[in-house]
Amino acid sequence: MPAGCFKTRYIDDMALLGTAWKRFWLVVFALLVLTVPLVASNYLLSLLNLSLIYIIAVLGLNLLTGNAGQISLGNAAFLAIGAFTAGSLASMLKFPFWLTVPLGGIAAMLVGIMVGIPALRIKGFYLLLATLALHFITESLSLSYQIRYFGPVGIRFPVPALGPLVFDSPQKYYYLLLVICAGAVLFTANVMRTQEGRAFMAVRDRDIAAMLIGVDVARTKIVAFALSSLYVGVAGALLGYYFGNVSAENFPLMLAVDHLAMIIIGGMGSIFGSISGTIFVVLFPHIIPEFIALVMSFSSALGALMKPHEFEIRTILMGLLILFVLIYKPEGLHGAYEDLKHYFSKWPFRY
Amino acid sequence: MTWIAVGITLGCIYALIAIGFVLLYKAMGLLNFAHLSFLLFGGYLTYSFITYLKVPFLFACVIALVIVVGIGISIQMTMLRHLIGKSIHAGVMICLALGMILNSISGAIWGYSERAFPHPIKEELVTVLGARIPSIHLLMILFTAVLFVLLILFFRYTAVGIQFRAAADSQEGAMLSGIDVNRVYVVAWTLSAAVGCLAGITAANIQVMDQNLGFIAIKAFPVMVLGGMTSVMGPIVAGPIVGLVEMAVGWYLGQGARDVIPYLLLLVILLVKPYGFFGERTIERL
Repeated sequence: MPAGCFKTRYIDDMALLGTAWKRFWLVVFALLVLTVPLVASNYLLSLLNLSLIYIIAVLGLNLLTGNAGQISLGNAAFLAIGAFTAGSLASMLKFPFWLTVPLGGIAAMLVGIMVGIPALRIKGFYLLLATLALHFITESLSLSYQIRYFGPVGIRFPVPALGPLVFDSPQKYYYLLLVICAGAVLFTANVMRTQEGRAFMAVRDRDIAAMLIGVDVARTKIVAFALSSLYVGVAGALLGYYFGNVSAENFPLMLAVDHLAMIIIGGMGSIFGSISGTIFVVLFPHIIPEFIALVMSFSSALGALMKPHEFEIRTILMGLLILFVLIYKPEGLHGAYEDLKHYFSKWPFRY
Repeated sequence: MTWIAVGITLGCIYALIAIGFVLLYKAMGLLNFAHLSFLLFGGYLTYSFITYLKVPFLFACVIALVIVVGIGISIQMTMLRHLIGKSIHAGVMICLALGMILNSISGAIWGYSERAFPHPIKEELVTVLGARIPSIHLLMILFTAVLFVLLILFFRYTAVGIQFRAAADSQEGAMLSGIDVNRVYVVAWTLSAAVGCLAGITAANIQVMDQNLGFIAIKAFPVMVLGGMTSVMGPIVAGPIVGLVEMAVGWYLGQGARDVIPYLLLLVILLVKPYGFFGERTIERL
C-alpha cells in the first residue's frame, strides 16, 4: 500500500488507475479471471455466468438506489421486459443477437423513463410503492402476453451468435459475458466521475439543496431511471440467452428483493459492492448443504430437522445476513474491504 | 348483485390490513413490509390451534393474537433501536429482511399446500337487501365495522390513544410534554400486529389459505395511499372503494384485469393525489 498519494494535476487525481500498484493488481485480476474457465467445472462456470449477468443488472440497480437515492423494487420487472423483448424479436422476427440485446435494453429504458416521470413528484416510500405496482403490472401483462403468443412453455431463445462466433458452451458464453460486464463496469465508473454522476449523488443526499445550487433534479432523476433500466434490460436479454427459455414465472418479486440484498450486502453506491455482493448471494445458497452437514455433525436431530427445508434456510440466512449488515456494517462488503485496507495502511498505528 | 357484496367484504379486509400499515407509518414513519407475516402467522396459528389442539375458535384467535403481538413487540425492542438516525431506506430493508425470515419460517412449519380454514359459523347464504351473500362474509363485514369503531374511540377518548396521536404528530413535542415515546412505539406495534393477526384470520375465512395469504396485503397498498398514509379514518372509506372497483373490473373485464387493477389504481393515485383523501401534506424542510 502506498504511504501517501500525492498528485499534481487534476487529471491524475481523477484517474481510475492512479498508482502503479493499482495497475499491477488489475492485470493480476484480469489474468485470474481469464483463466477461470480452464479450471472450473461446467456447473461452477454456469453459476459464474449467472453472476456476470446479475452483476450488470445490479450495477444498474446500484446506480439508481445507491448513487441516485431512488429506491426501487422494479428490477425483476425490467429484467422481464428486457428478456421478453429480446426473446420475441429473436424468435418471432429472427433478429440476431447483437440486435436483440440492445433493443431489449432500450425497451426497458423506455419503461424506465415512464416510471421516472412520477418519481419527480413522489419520493421515498411512495416511489417504492410505485415500483412495486410496476412489478405486479408487468408480471401480469407478461403472463398474458406469453400465454397469448407462446404458450405455457415460454419464449425460446436461439443459441447466441455473433457472426462466425457461436456461443454454445458455458466457456464461450463466459468470455462474451466477461467482455460485456467489463464494459458495463467501466461505463459505470466513468459515469460516476462525470457531472451527471455528481448530480446523482447530490440528488441522493438532498434534492432540494441540489435544486438550489442549480442541478436539474427532474432531468437527473429521469436519467438515473433510464440508465439503470438500460443496464437491467440488457441483463434481462442476456439472461434469456443464458436460460434458453424464459417465462413470466422466472421473474418473481423475490428476484428484485434478491438484487436489493446484493447491493445491501455488497455496499450501496460502489462498484466493488455490486460485484462482491452479487457473487456472494449467487454462490451462497450452494454452501448450505455443507452448512447443514456441519450442523448434523454437532447435533443429528437438529440437522435432520433442517434437511428438508433447504430453501427456507437459504432465505432465513439471507434475511439474517441483510439484518446483520444493516445494523452493524451498513457499508457492506465494500466497507469491510476499505476497513481492511486502512488497517494495513496504518499498521502498526491504530489511527 | 353478489359482486357488490364480495367487493365490500374484500374492501373490509383491505381496510383492516391498511390500518395496520397506517398505524406504524403514522407513529414511526416506517412502512412495515413484515406485516404480511403477521397475517400469515395469524391465520396459520389460529388454524393450528383449532385443528390440532381442538381449541374453540375465539380462544384460538386470542392465543394467536398474543403470539403475533409478542412477535411485533420483540421486533420493536430488538431491531428498531438501531434505526434511530439512519435513513428510511434502512428501515424498509430491515422490514423486508424480517418479512423474508418470518415467511420462510411459516413455510417451513406449515408447508405449501392449501389448508381448509374451519369456519366459526355455519355456512349458508343469507339474503341482505336483495343480494345473497355467504354468512361468513357478513360476519367479516360486521367484525371490521366494530373493530374500526373501537379503534376510533380508542384514539379519541383514551389516554394512550391521545398520547399516540401526540407522538405521531411531533416526537419532540410529545417528549417535552412527558410522554414516553418508546411506550407509544410499543403500543403502535401491538396494535399493528393485532390488527394484522385479525386481518389474517379474516382473510383465511374468505379465501384459500396457503403461503400466499400475505400477498393480499400488497393489494392493500392502494387503499393505504388512497385513504392517506397517516390517516386512521382513511382505510374505512378507501377500502370498500378499492374493493368495489376491483370486483367491478373483474366482473366486466375478466380475471386477468382484476389482478392488475389495484396496482394501476395505485399508480394513478400516486400521480394524481399522492396524499389521498385524509392524508397530511408533509412539508420538507432543508
